[in-house]
Amino acid sequence: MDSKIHHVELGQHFRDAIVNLLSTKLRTFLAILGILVGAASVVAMVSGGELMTRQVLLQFKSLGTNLLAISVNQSNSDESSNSQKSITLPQALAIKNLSPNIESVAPYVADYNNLTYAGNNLNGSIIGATPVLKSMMKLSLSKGRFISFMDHYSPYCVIGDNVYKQMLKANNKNPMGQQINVQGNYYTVAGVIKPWPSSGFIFVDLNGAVIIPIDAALVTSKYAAINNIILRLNGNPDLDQLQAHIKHYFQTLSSSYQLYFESPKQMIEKMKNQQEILTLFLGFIGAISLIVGGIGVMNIMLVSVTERKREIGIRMALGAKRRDIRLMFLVESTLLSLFGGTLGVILGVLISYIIALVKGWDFSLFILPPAIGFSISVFIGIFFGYYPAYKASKLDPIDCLRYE
Amino acid sequence: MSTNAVIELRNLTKTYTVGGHAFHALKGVDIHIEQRELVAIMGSSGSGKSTMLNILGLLDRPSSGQYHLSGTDVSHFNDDELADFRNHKIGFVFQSFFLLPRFTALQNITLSLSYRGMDHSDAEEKAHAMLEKMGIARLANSKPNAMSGGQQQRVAIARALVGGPDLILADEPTGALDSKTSDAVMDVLTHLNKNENKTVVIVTHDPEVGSACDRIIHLADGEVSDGL
Repeated sequence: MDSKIHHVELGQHFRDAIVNLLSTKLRTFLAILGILVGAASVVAMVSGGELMTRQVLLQFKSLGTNLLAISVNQSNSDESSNSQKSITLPQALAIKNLSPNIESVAPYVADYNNLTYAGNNLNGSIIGATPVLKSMMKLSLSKGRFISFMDHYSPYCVIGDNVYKQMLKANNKNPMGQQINVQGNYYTVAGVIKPWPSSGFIFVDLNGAVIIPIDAALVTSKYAAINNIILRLNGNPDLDQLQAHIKHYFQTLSSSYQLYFESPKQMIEKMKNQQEILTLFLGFIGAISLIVGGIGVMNIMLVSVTERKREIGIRMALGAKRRDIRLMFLVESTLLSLFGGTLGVILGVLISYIIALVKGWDFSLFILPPAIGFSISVFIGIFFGYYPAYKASKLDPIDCLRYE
Repeated sequence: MSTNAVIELRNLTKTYTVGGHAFHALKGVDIHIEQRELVAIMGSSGSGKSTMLNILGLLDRPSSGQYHLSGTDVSHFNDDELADFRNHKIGFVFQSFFLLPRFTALQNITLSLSYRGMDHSDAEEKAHAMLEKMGIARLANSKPNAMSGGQQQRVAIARALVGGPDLILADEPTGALDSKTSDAVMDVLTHLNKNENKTVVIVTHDPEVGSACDRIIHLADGEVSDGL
């Protein structure tokens, strides 16, 4: 006999494990259920979170993140004084002088008036804007021109894609040069905006907008007021400081102004925080179910060790070393959780795909979450499988052979 | 002392402690079994027969004394060394076959080869050859529950032989069989002894089995008795 102590090749352990797992299919399935759910939730949550972040970033990518939106409300409910007190266009444009970090200023008026065209109601809203809005919102035109500084009170409008389609549907005429009736005022369509990806940042839907010169908008309705101003910033200004600065400026105009700020950077920050909480929460659930799954695997393996005491004895009599027995059960539990982990990863990816589908997000397959889910499952299998395997290896062959 | 001894026990004892009381299962046994012998170890229950089987089979260690197996003192072997020696030197034939129910005949036979690290395809080849030799090659892919008792015992013997052991150790090999099959199994064991030159030790209480052997060692009360 040579002095080397021999061990079973690993392939044999895998063959044995597969024979054993297949002979108890139902139990095998039940044992992996916990791991499956755990791995699925880990994968689904990490993938889902990542998809959401990407989607949010995508929304801002087109606009850029160096924007700051200001909405202006008046706390005074006295209507007669409203129009007098509302911000004038020069006042709004003067914000640019407050900081060298402000690159451009786009005030706009959002007004929900009835729109009719060729006897049909149009579903859309009036936006009074300056030409700057085009570059600010990265709009591009499919037809005609955008409103210009020369327009002032000229009755021209630029329409969003939705409005364009509605008009086309109404009478099959090219909307260019046609007139839209806004409460008795007729605006001639001078341009059409290409479909614009909606954004969580700006609340008006530019696809459903009829954009008219801001001067015209301010005189069309007595309720029309500059209630929104969008700033494009350059450099990396301290947003809090800038906001305080702008607030102060409006306070000097009138104490009744209430300002609300929104910036993509802050929104992303907020969403990321929310996502982190969500990830932590789901991760907790995933971890719990993986632990429960691991305990399930351990339980099944303990039962299996007891049931197969006779087999352990026979194997030992045939020359199995304690290490061989330990490895045999360890391979089995690892295979068990590997199987559960694989199914779980597939399910998790499927769930994240469905989430993306339902939410209308772009789906992409990430490598990291499946890899994490997979490796955690394997780890669980080894960790929770070790004790039963160790227990099996410590059994006395004589007791095992006598076991009925 | 002959160098041809497969089994050499010298003043071997085994003492169990049960509930604080020492129980002497074997009380200084000397046994000498030569190569190619066919020996029956007989005794009533409580005679120390099972303890003897466990120690001879390297499943247990003696409390004192020496056990030389094929010239090697195995009395103080550790677990791994015992396992390796079991695998290489001993072929077990158990009373109720002890085939693994989930595995085919072929898989059952390759098992003992796999424990010496043999390559899987080599092991299968050897197992096939052994089944052929035992005349049960057609059972290669059958599972034990699809076989008769005699067939199972043949598979078990094939498993015991496949590793080329120095010693075939049989524990009541006919205990679970009817008399006709018993005879057939005994034929196989005696055939192994006579034609394959295997040393066969059969632990049994069956006088008929004993009478088929060259020599009978009687155990009584933990000692070798001089026969009846």
